[in-house]
Amino acid sequence: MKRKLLFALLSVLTLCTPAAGSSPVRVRFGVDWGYSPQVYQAYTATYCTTQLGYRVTDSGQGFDYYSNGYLLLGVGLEAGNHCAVYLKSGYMGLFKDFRVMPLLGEVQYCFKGKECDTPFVLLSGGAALNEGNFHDRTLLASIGAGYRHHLSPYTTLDIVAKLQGSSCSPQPYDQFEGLVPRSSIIYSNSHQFAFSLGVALYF
Amino acid sequence: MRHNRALPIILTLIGCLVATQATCQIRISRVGVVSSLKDMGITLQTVKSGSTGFNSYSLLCNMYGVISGNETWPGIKLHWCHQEILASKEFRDCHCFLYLGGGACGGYVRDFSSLQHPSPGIMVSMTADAGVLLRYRSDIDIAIDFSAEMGLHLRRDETFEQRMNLSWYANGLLNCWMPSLTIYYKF
Repeated sequence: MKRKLLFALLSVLTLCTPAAGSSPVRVRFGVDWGYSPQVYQAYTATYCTTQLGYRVTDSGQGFDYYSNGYLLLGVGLEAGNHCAVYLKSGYMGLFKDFRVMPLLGEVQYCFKGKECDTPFVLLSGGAALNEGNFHDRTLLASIGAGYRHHLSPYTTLDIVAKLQGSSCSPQPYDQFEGLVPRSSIIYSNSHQFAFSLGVALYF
Repeated sequence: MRHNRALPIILTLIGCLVATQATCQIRISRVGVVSSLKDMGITLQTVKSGSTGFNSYSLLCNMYGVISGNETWPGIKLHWCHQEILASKEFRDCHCFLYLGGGACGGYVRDFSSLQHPSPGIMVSMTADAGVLLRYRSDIDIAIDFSAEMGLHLRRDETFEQRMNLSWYANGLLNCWMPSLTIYYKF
C-alpha cells in the first residue's frame, strides 16, 4: 500500500516537474462554483433507540436525485507546460441536510499546454468537515474533464464536468425518534455519487 | 395548471422584446449567466443604436433558504435594469467599465423571516445596481455588480392561512452586499 502511494506521489511530481525550456512556475488564485446533484446513494446504519433501547439496522441503496451546489476558493501552482496542482476549500452540499467544508487537492493535465485554449482532465481528492463538526469523517474523490478558455494571458475561464464520489458517517434518521444522537450510533456509513457541472475563474 | 398560465406570459414577453428590437433599432449585445449567493439565472443585454447605456433583462432564481438547506425550491424573479456607463479605463488585458443603473423587479419569492419555512409571496420592487464590466478581447465578458431592491412583499400568513400579509421586502436591502458575478457571451 505504501509503495503504491509512493509510486502515485512520484508520478504526480514527475508530471508536475517543469521540463527544460518550459515556462516558469506560476501561482494562481481563483474561485470555482457549480451545480452538483447527488444521483446515487448507498447507506448502512446501526443504532440503539433511546426510548426502548432496541438495536435497529437500516440500509438502502439506489438512484436518488437531490440538488446541490458548491463554492470553492482555490490556489494553484502551474509547473511545466501541461500540469497544475490546486488546493481548494469552500462550501459544498453532498446530500439532503448534509453540507461540508472540504479541503481538496486537485491535479489537472492540459492537453495543448497551459498557454492555449485547451481541454483538460482532472483528478481530485480530499477530506471534509460537516459544517465544522469534527466527529464526521468525510472523504471525497472526483474525476473530471473540462475546457479552458483564456480571457487574457493571465485570466482563464474553465467549464468543468466531474463525477464525484464521497463517503461519510452521517447521523441516521429514525422514523419515530427523528435524528439519532451520536452517542446511540453503533455504526453508520454512507456513500454517494454526484455529477457536477461548474465554472472556474482563475487569475 | 400554473405552468399553463405562465407559458403564454413568458412567450408574450419574449415576443414584445423581439418586436421592440425590430422596430426601435435595439440589438442584443450579450447573453449571460448570473451567479450569486442570492440569485442565479440568465440575463440578456440590449443596446440601442446611438445610446451609451444598455438594458439588462434577467430571469433569476432567488436562492434565499435554498443554499442554507431549509428550502428545496428557489423563488423566481424577473429583473429589468437600465445601466449607464460612468467611467472606463483600459488595462493591459481588458477594458474596464464602471456602470450604474436603475430599474424594476418582480417575482414570487420568500422574504427574510425568523421562521424556518416562510411563505413565498409576490414581490414588486424598484432596483438599483452598480458594478464593473470587464471586457476582454475574447468573446467572453465578465461583470461583477451589487444590487439593492426596495419594494413590497405580499404573502399568505404562515399561521392563519386566510390572512394576507403586506410588508417591505427586507431581503432586497439585507442582501445588497452580496456580489453577483455574470459571465457574458457577446455577439
